[in-house]
Amino acid sequence: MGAGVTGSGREFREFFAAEYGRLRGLGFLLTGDWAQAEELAQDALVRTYRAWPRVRRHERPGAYARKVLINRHRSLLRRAAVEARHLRGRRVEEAVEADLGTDGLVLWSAVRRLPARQRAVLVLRYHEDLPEAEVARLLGLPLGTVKSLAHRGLARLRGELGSPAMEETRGTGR
Amino acid sequence: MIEDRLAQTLDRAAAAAPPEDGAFDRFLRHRARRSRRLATATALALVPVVAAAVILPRLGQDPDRRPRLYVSGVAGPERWQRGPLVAVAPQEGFEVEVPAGWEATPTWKGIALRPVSPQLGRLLKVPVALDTTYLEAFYQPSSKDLYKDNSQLPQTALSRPRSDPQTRGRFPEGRGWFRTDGQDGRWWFTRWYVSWPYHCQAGRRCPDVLAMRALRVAFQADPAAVPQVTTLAEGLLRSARPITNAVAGGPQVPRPDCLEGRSMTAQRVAYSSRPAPPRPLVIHFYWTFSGTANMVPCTIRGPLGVELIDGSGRRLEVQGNPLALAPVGDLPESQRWSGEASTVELTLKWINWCGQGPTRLRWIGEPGSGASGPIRPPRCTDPSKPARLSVERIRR
Repeated sequence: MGAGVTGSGREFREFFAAEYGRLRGLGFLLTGDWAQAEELAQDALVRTYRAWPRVRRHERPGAYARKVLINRHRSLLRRAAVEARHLRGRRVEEAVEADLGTDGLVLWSAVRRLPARQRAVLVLRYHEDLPEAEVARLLGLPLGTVKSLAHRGLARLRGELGSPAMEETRGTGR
Repeated sequence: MIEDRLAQTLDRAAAAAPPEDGAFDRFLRHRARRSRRLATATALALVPVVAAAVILPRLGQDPDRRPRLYVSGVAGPERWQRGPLVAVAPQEGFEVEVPAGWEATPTWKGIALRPVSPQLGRLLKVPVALDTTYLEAFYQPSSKDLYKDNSQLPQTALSRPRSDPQTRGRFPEGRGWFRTDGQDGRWWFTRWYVSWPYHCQAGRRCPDVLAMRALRVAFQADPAAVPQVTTLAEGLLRSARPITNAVAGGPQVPRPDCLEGRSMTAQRVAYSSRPAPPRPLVIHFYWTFSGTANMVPCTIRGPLGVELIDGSGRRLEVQGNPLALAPVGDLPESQRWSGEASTVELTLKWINWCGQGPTRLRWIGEPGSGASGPIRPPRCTDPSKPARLSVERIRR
């Protein structure tokens, strides 16, 4: 690419180093799969690179890459709706190797079981710390829908944290 | 507060990433692949154009020297040419004469025509369209035994304008036609069809539904222009000559590449893996494709591939890993029919794995890439010999 040669290339490489980990982490929270997360992050950065002469002038170029990643994820979700009917649960999401603690593991398991849109709203709201209006814009949803998805998602997490099924998971977690 | 606990858990989960070693190198490869794919798609899009230009003059039965306008099946800028000329649409199986006083440009599935005269041009809402479509059995006299093979007409390929006047007739030469007419405010509209059955290449299974193909002229015009445009439409339908796939046993032109969303829908990918006693692991991969409502016979260029990876997404040291398939094959000439003929099945065999740690599969190619959960690897049978991944069978 010239990424190691030109000023713009060096700048992009620095941008890559700063943003890649964050994008991959976001991809993982959205998909629950590190391989898919890497694909999403790489794809987002390739697309960002193509628009780099314009994007580099943005105040926060990272926000552009994040928007691309979220769009790509939305498009994958649409496809996944078809695929899921055929794979029927054969795809196993990865275990998190982090030390989340027992409560963290229980909560993470519950997050992973949330419907994709609820999960995306909660990840953007509480991991990316975005206001609801920004979440709505990124996901292409009405603000009311985002509020409702967040409310339902949190309620479901609260409910599941006390459910017998979670007690069982908690036991396995130990 | 659940919100605080959630934020903390999400932060920790995202921080538990596998190492990022080589991420930028992978980015460079990823970017190069995308660029290559774009370049390949552009180059391949030109193939039918070149093929049509080279092959068709030899196929044509008309020895005259009139200018020709080729319909390549590839979208492009408008190229208006004045008649008299001969428009040739090899993928759609017709050749037609565009008379003096009219000019034509190729469209994706046929041609559009407009009058040279601006006065007449102002009386047309849109250019006259000549292309192929599919008509329901309802319109076809020979419909009673159709679809025995469960082939399907696309939902969007045609309309049934029940409320519009419908007429049938026969041109003096014997060619039967079907027509609907109506009025929408100022504009009179007409859709006029003649049967234009599709014939598959010798030896290929041919869905019944393809007999439903029709050649169609459609126009919307001010009533003052209807007689002139109707004369043009009739002339087109009467003078159209069947070529290539509209002729039983006729010569076939090269198929264009399938384009996702236009001529093809990659519907799903599925896999299964099971240990085959006593040692190897057998992996089955299935990619399913179908045509879109446009029913364009095309070649799926691929590549489709499978890669064995470790828990952090790195490629495993296995001979033959990764495996890629390109070109994949031809998409059947229909939306779908029984027999799942549009599924590509790749069966792989993996033997002698002496490594440690979790092993997974990653696949590439439409509909998107993805990765499996952990799979059980084959047994280690001889640490002095390499592990090997091989293609056992490809079924298209």
